[in-house]
Amino acid sequence: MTHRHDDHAHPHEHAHAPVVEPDPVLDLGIDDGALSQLQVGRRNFLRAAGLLGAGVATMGVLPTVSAAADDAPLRSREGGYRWLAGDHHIHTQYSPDGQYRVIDHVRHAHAFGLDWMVITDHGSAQHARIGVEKVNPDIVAARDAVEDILVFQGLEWNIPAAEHGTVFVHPGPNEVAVLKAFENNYDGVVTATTTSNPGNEAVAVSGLQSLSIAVTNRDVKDALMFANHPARKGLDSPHEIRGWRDAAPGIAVGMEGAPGHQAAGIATPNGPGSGRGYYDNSPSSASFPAYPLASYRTYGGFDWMTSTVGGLWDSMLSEGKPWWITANSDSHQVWSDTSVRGAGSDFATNGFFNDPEHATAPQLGNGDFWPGYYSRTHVGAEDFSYAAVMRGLREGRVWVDHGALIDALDVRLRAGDREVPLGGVLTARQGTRVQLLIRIRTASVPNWSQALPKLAKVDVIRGDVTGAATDRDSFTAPGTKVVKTFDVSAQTGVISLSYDLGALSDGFYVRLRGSDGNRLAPGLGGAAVDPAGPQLDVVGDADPWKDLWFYSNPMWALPRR
Amino acid sequence: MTQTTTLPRTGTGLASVPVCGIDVLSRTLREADAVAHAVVEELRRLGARDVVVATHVSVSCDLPHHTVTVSASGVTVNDTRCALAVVGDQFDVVALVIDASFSGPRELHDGLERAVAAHTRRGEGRVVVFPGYHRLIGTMAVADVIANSDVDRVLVITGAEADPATPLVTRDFVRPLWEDGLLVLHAQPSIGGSLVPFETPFPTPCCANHD
Repeated sequence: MTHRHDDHAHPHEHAHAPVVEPDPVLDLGIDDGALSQLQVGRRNFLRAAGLLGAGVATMGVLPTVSAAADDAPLRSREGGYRWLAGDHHIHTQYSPDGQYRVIDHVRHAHAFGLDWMVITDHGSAQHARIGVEKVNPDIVAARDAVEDILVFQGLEWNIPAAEHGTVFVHPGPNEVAVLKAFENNYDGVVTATTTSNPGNEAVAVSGLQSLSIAVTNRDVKDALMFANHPARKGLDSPHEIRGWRDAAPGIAVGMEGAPGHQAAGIATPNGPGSGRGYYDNSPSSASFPAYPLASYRTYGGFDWMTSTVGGLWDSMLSEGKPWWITANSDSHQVWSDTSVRGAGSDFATNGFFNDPEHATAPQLGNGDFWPGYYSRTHVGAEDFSYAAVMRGLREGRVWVDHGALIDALDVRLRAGDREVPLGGVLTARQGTRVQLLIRIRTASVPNWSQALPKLAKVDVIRGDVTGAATDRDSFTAPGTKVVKTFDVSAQTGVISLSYDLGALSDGFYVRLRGSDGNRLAPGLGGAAVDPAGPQLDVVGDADPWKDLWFYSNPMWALPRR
Repeated sequence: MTQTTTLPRTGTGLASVPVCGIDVLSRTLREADAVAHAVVEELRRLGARDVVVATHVSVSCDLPHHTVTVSASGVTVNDTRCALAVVGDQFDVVALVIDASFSGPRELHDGLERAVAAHTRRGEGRVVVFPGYHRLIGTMAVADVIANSDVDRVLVITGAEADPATPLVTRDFVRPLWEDGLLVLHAQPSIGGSLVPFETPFPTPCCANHD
């Protein structure tokens, strides 16, 4: 699988000024022979560090500060990008556990402030036969009916031998055909390959490769995959996740840092009284045996793989390869909504539920929020377009938050006159001072619980780049820890922070995390690693509005030798 | 399973019998628990005491599934054959270990033998029935859980030993784990500062064909 650097952003650093030239060292379309000796040396280092090649070459920065050429509302332009909020995990009446029409979700998502969204009904026999086609005209109609929001069609893939994942494509004449073929050939339920074994793991890899081929062949303009609720049942082993990443770099690009179903922990009788995110499972025969029991629960609403400093996510980042996090609603049935599934539905036969109907009673047993209501995935896009959202996701210009904790986040890694944004790789001579520059706009308006969120602190998390994992099932990054905490509880408006990361020697990465400070505890790696991380969520009593976090994706700094 | 019912009665009232293993290719913990309880019921009917039943994971045949192991005293080897024969009428038993002897498809041998060995040394396994388990009902202090049953320790899943005075809401469903010879109940924080066992009796089901 080759990545497609011909029609995607060339990775490169850029100077302060928004005029940037492509970096030939990172452009694998340019042969070594065409580079200077110095450039070849630098390229060889990046190769050795596992930081060059498939996938990594698509990371980096787009220099353009594009003019708003469309009519979409300008929400936020931090760092020269339009930060578009979205959600890649939403179910409709075409899911066996869904309820709403496409238009119900699109109108709510738009009202709650999203700019893009992906419809992801579950892969199933009915969906492969009926739903995948029948949902499309609903999506096409919604694109017309509601302006200013990008509506992708995708599906929630039953990953063979593993959990679920979002798969979605760029809109176009073949969007249904590509998704349908993918589902029929590679969905775990449709093809009876859900059992966790090596043969089925290989089917998952083939599925991702088929998406790469579909893009290479221009069947669709673009395709992406994210692993959903990855630690929920221990089904996604570290080697499977690494396998997806490496089989289809630029296609399999990340995972849900925070699962949906964030209302599921609201205590009865006001809510389902379950685990936050419906994370209430135990290890099963299909689970990766080395995962600890602690991995099956959420921490401050986030999945253990992401919330553990020095955990699985960090172990992947320390390889120097991209793997991004998102936060989504997984909206099926909305907490306190006053509608229920349509009467007389026969999903097994029809492949959909009848349109929802009004119910007088608020449905307090539902565990989900509408898209945009609580979870947001913010993507730095060059413009308001489907392609730009997908490119921003692929390049990791992404941060996520819960409960609209902050309005905007602009993060740069800077060395001399070069800098990169989220997802970027900064290269500089050894000894060059590296600075982390952070600009945060605190919440200026109340969130959808009618409270004004208050950011209390910002953590800087740093880890070494140690190269490709020798143990593909590793899920720890021993050197990664919180290196700086900013107390910002007294500040509102635009908060500017900077942190001196010292003189560059070996490669490293940094990422950010912020909290309302309501529920803090030492992390699973101990107080020396994470003195005040997210707390284990209380099963049966987790009010999501009282525990808000944001997480950024990482940036790397690498020495040029 | 005819080989379990047609064998002649040879036992003579031993104090305890070697650990038995049962493999019905359970894909879910719920199914494994049902097997476990069926075995217990039959053994009790035959007068068994100190019944301990556990579940284990087997990855034989590239088909990860749960197996069940059982030990008891006050019954003969042949009693256990009879008990397992009755269970075999209720479940599609594919493989057995009785009196240290395996019967069933070769492919399941290693997984089931491993489970029996784990039970014998109490090294690992998820324990469904153990001395005192029937007293772990309602809400009780952590100290009383330890005092009233074979549970040796109660640990919070983030690593700390549970405070002995903390109320533990058992939900009448307690599945401790053997860890290096100790029976450890893992717990998690719940409403109002209480703890609940880590394993939930009715976890949220999922539309995929995973348990």
